[in-house]
Amino acid sequence: MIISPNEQGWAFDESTAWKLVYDGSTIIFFDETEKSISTQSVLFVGTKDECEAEIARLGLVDVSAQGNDNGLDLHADA
Amino acid sequence: MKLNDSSAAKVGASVVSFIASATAAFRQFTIYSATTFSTVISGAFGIVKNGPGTLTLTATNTYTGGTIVNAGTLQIGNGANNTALVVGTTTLNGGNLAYNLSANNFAVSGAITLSATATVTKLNGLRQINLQSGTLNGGGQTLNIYVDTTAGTLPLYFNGTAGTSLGQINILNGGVGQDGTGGLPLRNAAINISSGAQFRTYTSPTINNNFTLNGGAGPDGNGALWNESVVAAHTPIYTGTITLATGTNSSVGNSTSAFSITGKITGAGSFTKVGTGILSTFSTLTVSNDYTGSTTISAGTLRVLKPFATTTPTASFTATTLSVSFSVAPTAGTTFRFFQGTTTNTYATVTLVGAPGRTGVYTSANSTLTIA
Repeated sequence: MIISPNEQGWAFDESTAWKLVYDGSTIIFFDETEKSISTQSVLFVGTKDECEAEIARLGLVDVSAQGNDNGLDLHADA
Repeated sequence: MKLNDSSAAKVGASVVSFIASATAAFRQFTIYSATTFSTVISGAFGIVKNGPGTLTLTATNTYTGGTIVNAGTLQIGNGANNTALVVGTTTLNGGNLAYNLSANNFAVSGAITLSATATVTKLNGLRQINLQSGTLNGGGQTLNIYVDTTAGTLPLYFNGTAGTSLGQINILNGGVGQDGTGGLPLRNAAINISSGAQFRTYTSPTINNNFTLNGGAGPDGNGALWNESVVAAHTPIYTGTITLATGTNSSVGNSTSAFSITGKITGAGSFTKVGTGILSTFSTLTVSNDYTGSTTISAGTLRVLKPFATTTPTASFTATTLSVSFSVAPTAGTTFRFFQGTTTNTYATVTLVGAPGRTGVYTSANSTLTIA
């Protein structure tokens, strides 16, 4: 099911279910993880089959292989 | 030519090009103007180069007692002879040891020992020379290296075995390389790279030298520091401090190979990433880059990594979306900066993985993501 965003446009989930985050037709995140998710994109939570059905229904594309190789990376000013 | 005895000449400055004298152990050449020996020097003795002029040896010499340069230039080869060599150990008490060899990737063996500031020169830019198989005994001295680029930009590579370390290396012109397959004979010494000159690596050496970069992209445009390998698995690591000289802009580059700088980048100069590969620099709690010049990514990827808590977050993104994954949950107010050089991106949406209850604010103007 799609998690509704709050008034600031953020959707949250801290369950251990499969989590699918997508933006337009692009998959941002798709994994079964105990990690929390906070996102301004669309957050879908369910079983693996349910997530994959959503991916198929919407024709979502996984572009995660693009990684972070276009000149950017993190620098934490902690 | 076999020198058996003294052949000292009368000194007449306008006509005498050299004086040769002999001892049991050495034949001494005192050179006042350029002189070439094209016949083989053989015998159980060494030769000594004295005087301000240039002595050029173009034969495949077989003398066995070593070579000493006290002053002036001892030039090996004249660009047309592939096999000219000095034999055994070469001791530089000053002066200049020059190579002008016509075979590409010509390998020169034999140890080189410095006992004073000296110069090694590579002439003939059409040919690469590899100083290998021998030991470089630096003795804490200063070595100046000049690579002539008039006819080409091929480098002088030091691939031999490490003996005692040099104290200082000045790359005055052209490209100087050090491969990871040898004992890294240039290790430990501080290396000053003149504007337009270059230090290059191949394979995966760990370079522990401190560097001062004085600007430019090297003689071939590939960078003042350049890893020339196109093998992705080749990953040279620079562990020393890299100082960017004030008012200069120095390029650092690589091809498809990786390149890491784990030492501190400091100084008041600027820095440009060139080449298609990934260059990673690291800041830790004890080593934090603090150079104050600008940063430009003209090609490839520049990664600046600084661990957060005990780990480093990872980021992935598309043109409009940004996703950051944390293995240690960030606290509110922590700011992550995306090091982008001259590039700025605006992300329509942000996703945080492993940041329970947190949101984020991305500011494209200064490329920061602040956890809220």
